[in-house]
Amino acid sequence: MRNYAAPLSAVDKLETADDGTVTAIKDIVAADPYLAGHYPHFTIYPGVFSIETVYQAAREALTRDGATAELAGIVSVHFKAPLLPGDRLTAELTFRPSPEDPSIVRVKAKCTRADGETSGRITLAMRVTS
Amino acid sequence: MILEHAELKRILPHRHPILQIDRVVEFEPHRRIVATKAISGCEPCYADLADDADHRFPTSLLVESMGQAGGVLWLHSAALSGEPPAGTLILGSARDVTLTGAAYPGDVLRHVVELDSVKGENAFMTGETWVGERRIATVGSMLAVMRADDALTPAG
Amino acid sequence: MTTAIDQTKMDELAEIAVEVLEIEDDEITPTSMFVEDHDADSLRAIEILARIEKKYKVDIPQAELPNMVNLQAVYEVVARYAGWQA
Repeated sequence: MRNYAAPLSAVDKLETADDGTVTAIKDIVAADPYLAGHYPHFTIYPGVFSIETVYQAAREALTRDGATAELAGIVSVHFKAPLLPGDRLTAELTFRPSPEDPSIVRVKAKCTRADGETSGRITLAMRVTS
Repeated sequence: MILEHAELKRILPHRHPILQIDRVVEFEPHRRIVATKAISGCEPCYADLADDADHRFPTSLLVESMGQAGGVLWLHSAALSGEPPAGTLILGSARDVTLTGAAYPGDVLRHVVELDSVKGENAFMTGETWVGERRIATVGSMLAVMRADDALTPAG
Repeated sequence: MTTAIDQTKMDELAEIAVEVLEIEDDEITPTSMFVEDHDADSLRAIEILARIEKKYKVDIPQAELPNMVNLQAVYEVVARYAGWQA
């Protein structure tokens, strides 16, 4: 059971490398919540759900040691190749404290499809409190 | 101009449960739209939650909701001008989304979206989301793109 | 024929490009290529175009996009449509 509201489970697997880079994987499945309506004639993973993947991965990574993390803002999102059912989204996240505000962590994510094409670049601002 | 939910389905391809605007309450063609979305605890995003879970409405859905309001502004304005664009509406990019509050079941989101410019198949917009007197989100810029359906098939 | 450059306007264009391309100020030069050097795609190019149009209140046809490959080239296109004299 989740402890926060989310449109779907947007992270299937999460791995953290030694340098702190987090890799999140999400398999695109037409039967996932909300996708029946996006769209009835042709299913395409909504761009905002890629944002959700990055958010869920960042939230999990940042709350591991008991801290709380919430979304302060979306710095930028930029979508390229579309994601369709049967594909696999891989998001590579790097974390950097904001120079202006020490409670904010900047999460920069590069999202790629199974074929290696970039599906998007997403940068979030997360507010972290210990 | 008021557009009821059923009419929105003639304008947007989105359907239940991802059609995230309920009603358009103000509409100035090619300029500005005000659309509402009521948040209910019986939506899919509130399924399978621990009882003491954080019930804040997901930001991804808030952005989707605002984007759809912008989509209606663009598509309906174009249709009223006799030139409905063809293809599928997708979110191309967005910048400077600032969150200044949260929304919960029982709240009604009120999106105010303005169309900055349209360049071919690309529409540039800015927007704000209000709950009552509280502004909970601001979008500095948002770009919606009309993609031809054959450009959306998987790579070879 | 090369256009004499108004540096203030060049700096303003650089600011727009840097913001849209999400790079550092010192990464861009008048001749660094948006696509090859800064990973720009057609969406970012259109975004840069729309911001320029909004800032200088000028209308630049999409057909000019293939010409706008770096800051120098962007300057020349905008100067033409905005009627800039250096």
